[in-house]
Amino acid sequence: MSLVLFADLFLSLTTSILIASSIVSVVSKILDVPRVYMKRFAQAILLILLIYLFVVFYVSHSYVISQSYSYFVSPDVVSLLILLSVLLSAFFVVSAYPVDLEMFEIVVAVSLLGVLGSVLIAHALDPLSIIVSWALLSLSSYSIIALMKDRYSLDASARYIIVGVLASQLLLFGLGIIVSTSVASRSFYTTDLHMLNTALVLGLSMFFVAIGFKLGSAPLHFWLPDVYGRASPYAIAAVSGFIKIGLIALLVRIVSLYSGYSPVFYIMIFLSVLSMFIGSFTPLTQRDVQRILAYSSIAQIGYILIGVSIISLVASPGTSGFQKIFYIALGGVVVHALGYSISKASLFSMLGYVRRVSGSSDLSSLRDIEKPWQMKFSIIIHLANLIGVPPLPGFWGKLLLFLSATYNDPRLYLGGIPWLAILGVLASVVSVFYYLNIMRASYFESSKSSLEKELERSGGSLSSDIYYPYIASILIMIIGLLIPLILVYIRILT
Amino acid sequence: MSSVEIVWWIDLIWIIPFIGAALAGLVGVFNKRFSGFIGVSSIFVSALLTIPSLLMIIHDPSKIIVSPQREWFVIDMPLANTPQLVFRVGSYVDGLSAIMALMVAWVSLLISIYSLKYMEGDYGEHRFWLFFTFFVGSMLLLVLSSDLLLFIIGWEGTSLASYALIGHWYRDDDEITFVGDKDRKAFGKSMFFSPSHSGVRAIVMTGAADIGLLIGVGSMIFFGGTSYIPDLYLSSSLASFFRELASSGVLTLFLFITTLGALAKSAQFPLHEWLVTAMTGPASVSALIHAATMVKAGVYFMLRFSPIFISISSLAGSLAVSQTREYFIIIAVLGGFTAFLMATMAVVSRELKLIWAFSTASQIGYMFVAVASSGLIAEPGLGIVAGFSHLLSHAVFKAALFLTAGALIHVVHSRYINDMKGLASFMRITVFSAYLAALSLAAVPPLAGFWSKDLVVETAGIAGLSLIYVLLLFTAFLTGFYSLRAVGYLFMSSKESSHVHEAHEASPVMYIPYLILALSSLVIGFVWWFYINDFAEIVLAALPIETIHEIHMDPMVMYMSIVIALVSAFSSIYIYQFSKKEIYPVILSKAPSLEFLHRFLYDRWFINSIYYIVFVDSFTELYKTLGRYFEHLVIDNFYHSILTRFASVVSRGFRSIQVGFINIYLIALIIGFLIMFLIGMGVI
Repeated sequence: MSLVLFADLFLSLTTSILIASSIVSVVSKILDVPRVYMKRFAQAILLILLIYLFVVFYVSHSYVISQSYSYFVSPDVVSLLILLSVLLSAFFVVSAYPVDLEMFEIVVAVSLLGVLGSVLIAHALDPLSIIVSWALLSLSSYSIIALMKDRYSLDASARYIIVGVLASQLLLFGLGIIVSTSVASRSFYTTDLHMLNTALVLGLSMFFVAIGFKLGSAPLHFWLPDVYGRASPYAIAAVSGFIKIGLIALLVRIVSLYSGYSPVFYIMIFLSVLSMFIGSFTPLTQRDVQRILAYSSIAQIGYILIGVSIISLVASPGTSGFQKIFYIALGGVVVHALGYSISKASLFSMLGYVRRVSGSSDLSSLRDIEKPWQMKFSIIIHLANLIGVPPLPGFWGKLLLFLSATYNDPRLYLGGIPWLAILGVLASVVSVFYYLNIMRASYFESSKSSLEKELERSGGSLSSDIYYPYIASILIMIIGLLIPLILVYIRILT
Repeated sequence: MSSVEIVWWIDLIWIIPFIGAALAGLVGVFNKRFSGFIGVSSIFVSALLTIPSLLMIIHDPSKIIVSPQREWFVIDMPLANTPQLVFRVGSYVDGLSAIMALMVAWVSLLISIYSLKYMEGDYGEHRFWLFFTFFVGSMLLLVLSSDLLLFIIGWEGTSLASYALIGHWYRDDDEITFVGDKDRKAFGKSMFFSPSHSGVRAIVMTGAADIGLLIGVGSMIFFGGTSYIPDLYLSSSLASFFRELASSGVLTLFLFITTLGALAKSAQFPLHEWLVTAMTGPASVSALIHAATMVKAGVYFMLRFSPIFISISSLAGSLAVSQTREYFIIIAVLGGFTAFLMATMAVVSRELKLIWAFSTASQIGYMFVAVASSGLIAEPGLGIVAGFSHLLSHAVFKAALFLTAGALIHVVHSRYINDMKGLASFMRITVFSAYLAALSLAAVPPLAGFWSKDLVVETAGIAGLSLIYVLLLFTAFLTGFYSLRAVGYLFMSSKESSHVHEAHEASPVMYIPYLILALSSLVIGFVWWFYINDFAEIVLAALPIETIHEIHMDPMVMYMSIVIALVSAFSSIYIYQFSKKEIYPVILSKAPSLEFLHRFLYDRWFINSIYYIVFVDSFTELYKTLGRYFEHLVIDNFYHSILTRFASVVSRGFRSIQVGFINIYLIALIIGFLIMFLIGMGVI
């Protein structure tokens, strides 16, 4: 069927479209095309890719990780679902870029390349493809931050680059070691997972350091509050919205390849617990909204890592009885990533406008500006999503993640890890405080100045650009209501 | 044994008042007067339905009428002999419940008609009708239910309605609604009770004792394997439960605990205090709930369950029988003591409704003695018949007394009998009804009160409870004395009270009901002798004890009763009715030491103060101490100081790690890698 062929070509077509679009963007700067057209063009491209993604969903009826038809990439269910988050959040981020950014077209171009990097790394299976997409991803994220051209952004991007270089080196080194331990050349496969292979563990820990660094999980998170806290919020919307998310698919894939291997499991648990706690407790006395959201990213990645830990226990093909847990954990990861990416992207976008007017992103500056009611409403919705309020996707994600953790089966290695869910709940509860802080500051405003008026005065406008985060909030409400239906449908199907 | 007939409309007898209550409440929000009419009409329909059910029973006394039993819910039980407990909704009519339902429904109807006028213009009129009709529904449910769970629901419904109606004038703004003398204290505890306070007292005392009821009834359902009341009569599993209890020596205790709820509900010692202060409610409430029906629920409980206890314990062996006898003796002692206790308080009381309240508890003591005696004599049916007939006759004349009291209090706007002197010339019908009912209470023949009280005393004598017997006779003397004292004040001439000269007779809507009740007491007295045997047969036919075909009255007892009644009545009339001034100051001047006796009786033997000091004060101190030491120091401290400080310390601690130097970040990355490697290797 031609549709099947269409789906098979997904990766290559996506790559070409995105590269072409970024070239178009650069060219439009040279040709002085009005920026609005470029923006609409980029939005349209992303929407087309979304539709393409849905076509692929429709075509691929099987929901199990299929046999990869190439050594390099594997477009399976994990990558496709993560791509949904990537493309949706990319759409919202690009839509919210203010047209009067200094390097607008370049930013758009680099963002599209960042999307490409995310797409590629989500599909990567082979060390070489990992390295290639990693490079594209990292460079895009450094560039987006630096392109914002204010003092703080340059500082932030410099920090990011320096630590990122170290992480990339560890990635290369780690991949090399892993490959050297594997049976087949240039691949991840290894036959003997029951022996504690020092070299393999060394390589894997280096690899996970790099991924953990990029994702922002503790103890590799130290760059995150500084970078997220200082850079321009539009850039951070991009970085946390879509650039990070592709990595989650890669992590799930690699972890499932090594599932049942205890070092992986231990490492994931360690990362998860530490991230959740540092992400929940540190911002309690924090007053800068951007830093609070940075720590919240750390915590959210912590929750996602719970699901990854479970996957590392149960995903190996040999264990047939654990399919249900695997799907619950995978569902949790994917849904939570979806909610997280859209909300973070929207929150940072809206914060960008606030910071532009007030100069700082302190809680008091959030409070002292009179915002349009739609902005207040969508801030609250997005924060509620991060807290995990039903029926938003953040709740479903957390529910599925904790559910997978509490699955108590004596056949499972260690018999299951319900305590992890308890810790997750505790961290969630503690984190509610700082989300509420932001909600309170944004809602109970003191109207010293009005956002709209200030923006007009500085030459910008609150025109249609700002509506995208609002649409995003409505979208996640709808998604949140649909998710249980989809979950039931899937369970019935498989 | 007895044949069962299924009739569909029996459930309506108790369902219709509930519907009426809901409607009255809803409609009353818009139009208060109309809620009264809805209430009265629903009770009327209910009362009409009780007549054919009784006629059916009279036609064939051994027949039981049930309504279609609809299954409500099922509990799966791991017990060997009963795999499942099935709870059903339905009604059960035998002689006992038919006559009781008839009495409840018709007395309620008369009182509700009275209330149409009495509660006119009240600030909570629709609320009154909501709870009044709800009460009637609950009481009928209690009487007619076939399932023990429904019985308990009706029981608790009456408690709730009682609480709401006692505290009806919750604003506590009119002193006439209070009970007691203002600023009077006994051992530091105030003896002046407001409606809101009294409502709480009532529901706490009856509710606390209901624990016993729930324990007992729950155990019976569990071990008997069924909650359908007739199935318990001869249940062998219940008998083996009793046997087991008896062999551990706790059957008496178990039966007593079960009866605690009934004791509280019927205001027997030691749970009698709530009835006294329940007089803060409107007069119709006092008449209905605290004279005619709700307090009788405890007696009804005894009437229903004593045959069960007797028959089951006889199935359970001699040890059970002897312990059941012990239990009945305890109940009889409590009843007899209450009768005496309350009568002594009534003699010195100055508030009209209080006198009748004490009297109610006293007469119910008589009923308890009668029913308890049934377990101690060879013919248990005699005790049942004696108790039940006294229940019925007392309900009729006591309701009349309370309703007249309401009218009298309203006219002189005072609750003290001292302010009612000379009313007799102005309110002839009311005083006539009150006098007639008081004579019945005093057990003057040929009124109904005489016959039933006589039967009770005789049963006590047959049971061999000699001390109780003497106590009951002395109490009968006191009863005659105080009842004629109360109405005697109405005839006393006096120049002081000004209100009396403005008095006028009550409206017919009010006086016709209590006139009917007072005359009924007379009529029942006249026909009592002729119908008592049929009455006994109807009541006892469907119960698991032997039927009595003929009741013999001991002439000696009758003569003694007549003498006591007449002597007490005449002495009271002489002292009060025909005297020109009050006697109490005269006595006090002659024998000042009697003042302490008077205070002792007036302050209710100081029992109220003792309860408040022992129970209320101790708990108050406890909660204050807990509040000071646990609530403030531990809980508040934890949530407001410790937890917040912990969170901020941890937060600042973590934040201090973010030093901002990139070198540190790089080192942290390497250290993180090392830690992860070590974890992976299993070292950490």
